[in-house]
Amino acid sequence: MNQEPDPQLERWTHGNLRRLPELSAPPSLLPRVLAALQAEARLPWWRQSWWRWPLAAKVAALAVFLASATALSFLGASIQPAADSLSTALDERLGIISHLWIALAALGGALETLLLSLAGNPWVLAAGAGCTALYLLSIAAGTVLVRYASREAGGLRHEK
Amino acid sequence: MSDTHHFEAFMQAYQNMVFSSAIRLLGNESDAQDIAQEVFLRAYAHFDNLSHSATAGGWLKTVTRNLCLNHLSRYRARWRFFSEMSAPDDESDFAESLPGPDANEHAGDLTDHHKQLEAALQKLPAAQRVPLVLYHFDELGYDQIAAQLGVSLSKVKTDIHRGRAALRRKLTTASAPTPPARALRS
Repeated sequence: MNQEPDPQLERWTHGNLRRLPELSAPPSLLPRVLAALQAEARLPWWRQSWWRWPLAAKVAALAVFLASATALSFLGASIQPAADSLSTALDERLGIISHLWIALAALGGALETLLLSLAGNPWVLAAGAGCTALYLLSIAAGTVLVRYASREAGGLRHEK
Repeated sequence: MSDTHHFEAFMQAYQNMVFSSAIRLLGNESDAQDIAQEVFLRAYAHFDNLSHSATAGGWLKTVTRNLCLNHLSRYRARWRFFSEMSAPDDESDFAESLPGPDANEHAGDLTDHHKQLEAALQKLPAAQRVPLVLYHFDELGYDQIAAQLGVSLSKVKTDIHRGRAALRRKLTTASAPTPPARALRS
């Protein structure tokens, strides 16, 4: 399954890449990380990561979470009959949607008939092809512009 | 030694490794710095365990790889449409478009051969560079890479092969030490 298509090229690449030394991290990395750590340390404890909360706060938060989850599950069980009756009432009220669906299906049928009758008309076909061509042209132009802009941005970064 | 000084020493020991892994996967210095910063912030949160762990390097490398892949997948969907439309053309002139030996500012202390290889690697399209780096630096198998990247095994093999061929083209056209004669033949 993992058969190598070109073992010589694989060995050559592996040898060269593995001989590459590590790159030096920019000198700004260490001060950046230390500054971020200091900024985080200045935050009040409740705005820091949960893992860094005091133990008592962690335990209290866990207890509140468990109590909420338990309460919600009991609440869910107790309101089950009420939810069932609400669902029945909604079903009755939403019956109007089925009427709407029938009207939309009829409209769709009429549109289909209209399109089938127009399909034989060469002018309609030509207009459709023209619109499609313009749409594709606009996508192509957008692609070219985006790639050009991103290359320019890359070039500027290298120049910096 | 205070905790901060201890962490500074830890960072100095590992920052080149983390930054190198990130920039080789991402091909972008600014993104690599952001990822390296995030890796060390996470390391600080687990510093009690990491500071005396023999596997700290492996932990850092894994976190770096995961964060880089997350970062790439976040942007991949956005750019996939545009990048795939002209991918074949990009490849044909890839070797010619590579920068000269001085283009990589982080390669100042490397030999010309290493500079060119590093620059060529970072200029590879992400679809080739990422699996190539995962294979040769992180030593993952083809199937592991396919699973990590969520692409087919055949695509991984093709992309890695194209990436290797592009690197070899670049290095053999430059005045770098030549690879074995048989390997030069395509």
